[in-house]
Amino acid sequence: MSTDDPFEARPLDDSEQYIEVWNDLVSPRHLTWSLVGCAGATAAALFIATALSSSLFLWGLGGSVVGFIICAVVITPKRVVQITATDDIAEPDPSASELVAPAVAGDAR
Amino acid sequence: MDIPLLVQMPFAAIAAILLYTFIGFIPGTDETSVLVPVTLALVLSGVDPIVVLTFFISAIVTLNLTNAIPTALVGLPGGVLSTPMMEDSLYLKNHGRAAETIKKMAAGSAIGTVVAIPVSLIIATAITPYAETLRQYGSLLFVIGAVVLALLGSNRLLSLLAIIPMSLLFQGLLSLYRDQGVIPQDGNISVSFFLGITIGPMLVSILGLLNRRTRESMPRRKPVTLDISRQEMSGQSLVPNQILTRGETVRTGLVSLVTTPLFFLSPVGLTFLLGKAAEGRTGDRLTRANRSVTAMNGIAHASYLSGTIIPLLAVGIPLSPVAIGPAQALFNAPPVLSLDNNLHHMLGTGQFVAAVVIGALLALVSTYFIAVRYSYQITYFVMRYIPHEAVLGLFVGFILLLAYLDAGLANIFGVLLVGVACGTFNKLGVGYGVQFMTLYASPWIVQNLL
Repeated sequence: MSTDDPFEARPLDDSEQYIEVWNDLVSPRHLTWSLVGCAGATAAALFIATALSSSLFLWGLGGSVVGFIICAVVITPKRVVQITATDDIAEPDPSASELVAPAVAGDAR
Repeated sequence: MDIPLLVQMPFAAIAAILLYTFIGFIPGTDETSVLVPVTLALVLSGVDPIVVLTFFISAIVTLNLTNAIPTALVGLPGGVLSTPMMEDSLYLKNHGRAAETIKKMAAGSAIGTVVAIPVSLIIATAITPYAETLRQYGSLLFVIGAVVLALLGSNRLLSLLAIIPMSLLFQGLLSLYRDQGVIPQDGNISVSFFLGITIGPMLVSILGLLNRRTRESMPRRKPVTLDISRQEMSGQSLVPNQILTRGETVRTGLVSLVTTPLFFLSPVGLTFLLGKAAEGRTGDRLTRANRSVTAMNGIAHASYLSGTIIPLLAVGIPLSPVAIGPAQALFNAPPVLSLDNNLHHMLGTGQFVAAVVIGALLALVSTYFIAVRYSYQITYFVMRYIPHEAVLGLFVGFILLLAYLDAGLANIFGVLLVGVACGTFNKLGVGYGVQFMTLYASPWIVQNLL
């Protein structure tokens, strides 16, 4: 599901290209699968609910959540999370943490 | 009030805290689309109204704060209401102040909540005698709201121009559905329109990907690198004093107080506007950014609480953007609740106050603790393990479901139409606030101006 090797040590594969949709990066291929999966799961749940004449709402909700969980397990997030280790746990010193301030402002949006 | 209810209420509050702490951290999740389905499910499953209200109040207090945390910590807004905080949060984060910012946000939320609840209850009591008049002029208030928000925004002419065409779209689609028998003559489908506006920008982006040329010309990026410093979150003291300066406390209290009577205006619009006002002109950039994020959290809480409490307690019809949006299921959830028989009619003032106070207090105390102690771990988990693709998929699933439930298969395309139109307006520069106000104003505009 996720890799443990530090991404910054391994340049990203050029064939893996990410685009920004709604404030975060996605892979178009994964997005297609995810949309199809979640929509399919919801539709299937609605179909079952209709057949059983049970609550459409609860089944549909369950269906989309199941789709979400499957996608979350299968797809890796397109974010690199780095832990900036700092050893002192004393009072946060603004001038010291300024050095740790990451330069992600441009990318994060 | 019997014993089981007294047990159910805190239980509901805690369930809301757990659920919405997690949801709040997911970047980009819209408040309405995460609150309405769950509240609706609760109402429809026959949970006691007082328990539903406790759940909802607890959920909004939790959600508003947890939405702000990813904004401060990694620069991704957790929800619509935290978008106004982006600029200042990023500035503070880049100066290594993320941990301090989160504490200030939590303290700001506490001020907003503590100010908004009593003031909302007083205002609600004060306007109860005028409830009947307000019912008559409710839609006119929305028209004024739409125009005012358009004039206050950055794209005045564009926003004003958008009001009437959008009204035509909403009312046009509604009468088409009625004429064709998709919904009954007196039926309404506001959930679908609301979703259309909310997911519009996302829908336009996703549909744009279907165009090969657009897709290929989109900028390709490497994954965003998010740095979280372990130090930022460990060993934080829980002592609430010394978090805010005197200036921040006073300004936040003041804007929260101003926000409460403005419950009929859009929370996002108010957060932008009053947050910038609270920033002030004195002091350096850092001081102003601190004032702004603190105040914005206060405003966000105050506007959500007043927008829920005042219309619900005083009038019983959804007279505020919050009431017609995230809190909609408390007013109208056929067949359990209707505009003539909802929480306003079912709960006495005492029960109402009990639900609000229990929900808000439990949520405030727990989220304060979670925000100060566990922001780091939760943000890490969400950023690391929850792919954005799956979140978008979940949204599309929800939209399909709610559109289908609202008015059948045809409405899926109706929501698509509303989404594309509103999303395009949004990308042109017409804010959510104006669009939502227009949705509520559209019946009046179509009846009186055309």
